[in-house]
Amino acid sequence: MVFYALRRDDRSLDLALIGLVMALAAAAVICWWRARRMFFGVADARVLLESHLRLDTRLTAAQLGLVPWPREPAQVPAVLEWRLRVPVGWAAVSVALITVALLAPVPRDPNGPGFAGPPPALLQTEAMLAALKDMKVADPQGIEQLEERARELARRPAGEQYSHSALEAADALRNQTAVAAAGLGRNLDAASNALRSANRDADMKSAAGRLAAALSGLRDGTLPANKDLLSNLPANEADLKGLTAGQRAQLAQQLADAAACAGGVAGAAGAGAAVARPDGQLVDDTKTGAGGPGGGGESAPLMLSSQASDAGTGEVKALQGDALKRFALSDKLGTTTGAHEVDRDKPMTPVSAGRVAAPGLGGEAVWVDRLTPAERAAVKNFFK
Amino acid sequence: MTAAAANPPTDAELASAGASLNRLVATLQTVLFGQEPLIELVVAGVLARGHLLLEGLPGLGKTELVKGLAHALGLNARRVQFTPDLLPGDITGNPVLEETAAGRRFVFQRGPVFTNILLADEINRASPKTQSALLEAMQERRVTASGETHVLPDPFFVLATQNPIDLEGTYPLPEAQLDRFLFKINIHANPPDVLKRIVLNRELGAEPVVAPVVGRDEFAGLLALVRRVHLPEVVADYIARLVHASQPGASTASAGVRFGASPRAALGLAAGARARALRHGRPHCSFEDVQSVAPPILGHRIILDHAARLDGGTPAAVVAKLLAEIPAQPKPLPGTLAAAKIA
Repeated sequence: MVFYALRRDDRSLDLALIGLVMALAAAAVICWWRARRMFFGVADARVLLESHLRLDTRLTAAQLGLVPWPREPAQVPAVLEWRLRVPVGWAAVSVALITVALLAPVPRDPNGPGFAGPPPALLQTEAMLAALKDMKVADPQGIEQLEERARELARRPAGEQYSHSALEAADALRNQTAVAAAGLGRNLDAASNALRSANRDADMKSAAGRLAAALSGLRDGTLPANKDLLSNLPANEADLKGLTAGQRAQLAQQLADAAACAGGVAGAAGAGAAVARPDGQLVDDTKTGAGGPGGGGESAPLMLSSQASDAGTGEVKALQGDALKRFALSDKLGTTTGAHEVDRDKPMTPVSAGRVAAPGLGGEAVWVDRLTPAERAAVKNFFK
Repeated sequence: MTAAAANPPTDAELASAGASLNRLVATLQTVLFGQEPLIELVVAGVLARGHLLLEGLPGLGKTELVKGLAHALGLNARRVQFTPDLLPGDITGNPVLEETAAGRRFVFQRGPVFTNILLADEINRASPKTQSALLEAMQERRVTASGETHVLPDPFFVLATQNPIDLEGTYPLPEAQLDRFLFKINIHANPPDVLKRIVLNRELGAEPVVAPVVGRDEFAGLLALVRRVHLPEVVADYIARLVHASQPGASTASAGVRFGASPRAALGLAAGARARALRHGRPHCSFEDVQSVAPPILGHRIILDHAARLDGGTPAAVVAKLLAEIPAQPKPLPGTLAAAKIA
């Protein structure tokens, strides 16, 4: 089986041959060790023949030179027989199996055995990267880095594409790409919202601050935004004021569209197999936790609910609006403060150190806790 | 190679010994009819320089056989009828006061033990004290009386008989004394054809006339020749394993045995096997020799416990089991070989 498996995977048989030789040598040593106690020497065989054929130790005496050797009979009685059926049978079966393993044709599948094509996670990653590249909102250099990692995984031999490590790596790359795309979408959406608030509020200072924060995210995120895009966005309050309201609205709309596309890429990654549809089209599903095709579509009933809850011992700040869409893993969603309820008016008596609050009951504890009913009855009868 | 193997009996010596022994056996067969195996054992025992204990019912010819053996060998023989009032001095001899011209002095008056063949008839009727008087004589072939040691004649044999019935007033031989007998031979009743021969050839009260057929020197030569018969190491090993297996717990066959055979039994087996080999004209002894002399040698040396005796076990049955259980080859056969045709 080992030989055949190695041939099927196009691996070298040298180590297997060495192992076979070593196993045969070990088996020979073990057989000799176990059989040596049963070895029969010439003297033992001589006595055996003398005793069973009642030769009056003629052979032993002849060996000592006391009497001449008896003549060899014309026909030697069949007193011994070889029992070669079992060992020869085992050897023949072993040789036949090894021969079959070495010579049996191995089925050649151009796509490799078992699974055809790259793993789905890798396909999803490539689809997301292609979508991001088409959007032209992400930095090509950042996309190129992710693509290079995807190509590195795709270059693995077909037989290793579905190994545990390869699948783990593909999944990690897919998740990283999805998180990066989602982060890009959030920052674009934040920038769009900042531009829109600039049109609504008379004071553009706060809008400029939010826009600067969004630009910082776009510039320093896992997947940075396109440099051309960044250069066209107002960098400070003066630039923001330099734009007309219509220009800010148009820019906000463009950023919102780009954010929707980026979020769609992330959502498609979360949609799992939807990305790997045969038509290769991504699912435009920006809803959080949409699940697979046709499934979900509603907010998952997680603890990160928009409804405030108060357990009575602290304060929980509820998440407002569409904030749930903007967070990814490891983001801080809120803080909770609480305090112990201590009744300081409760009367307390002096307590000495080392005092045992619940002293053991000694034999009674054993009596109650350890003895089975039968043992208890036996002890009770003894003391009666 | 041992001394015996270095100087084994030659073919001529074997042929001469065979002729002498054939004459002896043929003579004894004229004394005791239909007991050829018994006669062979007696001859083997004598050749092995062993003391023999014959056990059988009265009138089976035990005494006649012993007397015939003594006559055929031309040796001195004395017969002592053991009775409960027999004293040790009656066997070994007594110091008697002798008056001479020089004065009075004690002179050791030799008893009947000073002979070549002592026929101790119905030995189990003597007291243990008298029986033990034979111990030194049987083992060391000498007698000590009044501080003086007197060497018995060479050769010296005790051929004792005992009656297995009418045990009232008898003293069973102690194990120590039983161990000194090389053979204990049971004499069985004669079949009708043998009885017919006895009736036709004998008369009541008339003892058969036996002429010496083996001279004293010739017999001494036979005894010396027996010692030159080679005992192969494999046969010695077989004897050792056989005797060891008779010990309690040493083998399956020894179940129910309280006391097994002694090293003296092993020496007896070797001597008996040598004697039988010479009787069969071989310069070496074999497993078959050992197996042939084992029952009369081991039978009276194996003591069974009460449970085994209550279950009907006998020492003879234990010996038969030992012979069946202990293989001749020192190394146990492999399972495949044991299942082969040869085993």
